[in-house]
Amino acid sequence: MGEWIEPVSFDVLEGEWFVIRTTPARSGTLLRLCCGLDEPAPPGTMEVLGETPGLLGRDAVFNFRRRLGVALQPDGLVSNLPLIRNLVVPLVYSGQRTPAEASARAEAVLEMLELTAWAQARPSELPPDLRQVAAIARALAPEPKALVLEDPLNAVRSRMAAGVLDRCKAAVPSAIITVFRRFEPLYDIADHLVLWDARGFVSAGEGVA
Amino acid sequence: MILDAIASTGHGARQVGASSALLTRFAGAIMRSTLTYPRTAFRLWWRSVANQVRFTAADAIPFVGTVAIAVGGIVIVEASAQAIKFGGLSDTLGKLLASVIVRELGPLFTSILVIGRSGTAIAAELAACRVYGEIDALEAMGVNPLHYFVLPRILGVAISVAALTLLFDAVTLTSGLLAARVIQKISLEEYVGSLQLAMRSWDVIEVTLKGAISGAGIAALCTFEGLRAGRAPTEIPQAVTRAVVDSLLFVVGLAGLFALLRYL
Repeated sequence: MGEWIEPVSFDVLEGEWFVIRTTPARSGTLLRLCCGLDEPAPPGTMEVLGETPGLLGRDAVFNFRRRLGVALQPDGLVSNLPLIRNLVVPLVYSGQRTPAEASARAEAVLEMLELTAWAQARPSELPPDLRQVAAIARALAPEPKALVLEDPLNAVRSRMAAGVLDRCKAAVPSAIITVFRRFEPLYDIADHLVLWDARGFVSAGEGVA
Repeated sequence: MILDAIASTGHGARQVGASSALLTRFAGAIMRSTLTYPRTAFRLWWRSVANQVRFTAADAIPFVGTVAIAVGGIVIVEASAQAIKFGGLSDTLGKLLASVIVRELGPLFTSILVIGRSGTAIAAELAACRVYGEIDALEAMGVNPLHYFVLPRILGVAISVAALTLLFDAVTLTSGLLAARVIQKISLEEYVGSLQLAMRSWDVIEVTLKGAISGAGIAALCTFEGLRAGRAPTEIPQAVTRAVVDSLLFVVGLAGLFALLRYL
């Protein structure tokens, strides 16, 4: 991603929300590796949900990704689709649900995150804070085993963000999340909070600000 | 100076080689993706194909029709003038119409119009999707971009170019008839009789097939160039330019190949 990344080693336990405060470049590299969008440079390895995404074949890596709920930066909401279809399309085209099942699931997720009123709006019509919540909704729709979120909800007011994060954690107990600046709602909900900079990983107790 | 020219030629050849290898891999991936198409997506897929046909064919009818009227008028007036000069009108005019307009100009003009109108839109849309992270986001959610972005466009544009080619030929011949009657005073019977002598029913099949192959190729090349755009906004116009050049070379090459096969 255009920045040299120093070697790091870490484990995220099942049932834990692992929050990393870092730079956009480190975050982008790490999360793309998690999803199998990039491969680690040898001899580096990465194992996610028992798979090594960088080594999977083309079809296998798509099957692997269906177990993740992903929201990266930029959010990648498809600009010519209404919000509800942004949730339906990945469910249907990944082979997980029929269009009717996908619509029902999408409606349920939008309701859970209080976005029902915006279901027919295009992404460009959403205010920036709701657009971030919409990206989270799309990540939650497939009922993933783990969430992979990049600097989520940074434009959302703290109280609303805390509510969204609580609902996300209740739905998906495992997550790896990166954040680019101090963001209290995420710090509060994290099971494990670390700073990642040129020194490597620094735990919360050692001065993550 | 000479060394620079040799180095630049070598660099160009390497780039063409690399692009060809990528394109071959892309074609292979398209073939493979048809086998892994998710059953759950068939209904939405048909909707995408229908939207593509509406945009590429239905919305383009006034544009293609206008060009066809102009081409028909110009070519047939000129052709009939030459036919009268060089011999029997009934023989020469029909042969000229069948070979120049129906078999060659119709498919070629239609393909060029579709490249200009829809091919550019496809390449720009997909390049923008790449730049704004939409393709990465869908891939990260387990969606194969070939299933969602490429296959419906290939089928939709193939159907559209085949249909528009038939329309182009029909409008051209009709407008040519009017022009020939008004300017060259050729009778309807003479015109139709000349055409009947020169055309076979196979011509319609050939033209439809040519249009469908041309459309599929245009869509494949434009999606290829759109999807391989980088992440900077400046990549969007570059992707469009490459898509237009690739597609034009493809349709001209295809026309040449069909002509070669016909006369071999």
